[in-house]
Amino acid sequence: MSARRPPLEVRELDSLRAELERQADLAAAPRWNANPEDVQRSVARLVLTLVEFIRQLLERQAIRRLEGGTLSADETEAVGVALMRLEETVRDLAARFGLEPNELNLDLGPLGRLL
Amino acid sequence: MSRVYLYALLSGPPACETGRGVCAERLRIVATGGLVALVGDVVDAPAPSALTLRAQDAVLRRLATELDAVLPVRFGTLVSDDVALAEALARRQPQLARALGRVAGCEQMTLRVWGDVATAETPTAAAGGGPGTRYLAGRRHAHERARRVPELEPLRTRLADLVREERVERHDRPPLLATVQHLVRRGAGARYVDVVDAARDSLRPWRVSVTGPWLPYAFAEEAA
Repeated sequence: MSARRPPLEVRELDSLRAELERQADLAAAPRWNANPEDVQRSVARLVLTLVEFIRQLLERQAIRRLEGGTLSADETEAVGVALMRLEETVRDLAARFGLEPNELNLDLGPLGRLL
Repeated sequence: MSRVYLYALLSGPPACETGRGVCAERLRIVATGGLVALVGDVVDAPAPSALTLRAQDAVLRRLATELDAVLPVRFGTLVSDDVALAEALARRQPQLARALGRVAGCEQMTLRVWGDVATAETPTAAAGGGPGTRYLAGRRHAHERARRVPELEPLRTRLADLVREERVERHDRPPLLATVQHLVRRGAGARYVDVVDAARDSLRPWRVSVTGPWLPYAFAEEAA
């Protein structure tokens, strides 16, 4: 790697470092390991991660159908409301167990992260 | 008991010595199912750190000077033995072969886009309907936006003949707005930098920084 002109500003370097740390935290998403001291939270994290995974799949499928013109106006509204409520529910339940959105992930080893 | 640490997939066996890996282990080549893997035998994967990441990069860069394609594998990838490696590679052989072909003869340049605010949003078509329709329209817009960096539009046509593929990641955490990875022909990095430098004025108020050339890490996701 070689530095290119013009040089980065300090605040830009700080911003890049923060982003790299965020990425490293995500990459270090722990494999699920039920801690006997905190089983409820561990189980909630696992279940909510899977629900969030399914929610994202459903959302992408809905957007594909929207773009493909295969959803009627009524269907679009119904699917949108369902996905919106599902997102709110996942967020509320996660907050109840003190989970941040970026904690809803699983490290699948060589396969990478689930989300 | 040692396990097999996977460094990269290669376009073929190197003519030079494979040398030693991050843990000072002797590296070896495993050819299986039409794929060639660079591996080392280690007890544990090296802990990720600036030092070990650089060391792994140096191992691969050295081989890249001898080979048409080096497809880096995710840092820390371990399998139990050569049989498990062959099975893992066989399961994904078509994707891996495709990824190797994609990066053959290429290197990666990385552009970062900086600014205090992202480019103004183009208003979405009047999102009629109820809250569900507006929600879905908003999510669609967010997905589209995650794949675009309109701040770089003045640069795109100038880079068009250099760039073979692109990967975009929006951050929108000012001042870091986006990272764009470009796959370019090996040896084209200096010209790439010249083109970016010449376009800086047209990009204002956004600034860009360039690093590279790198091994094609951002284009190896299928081998991760």
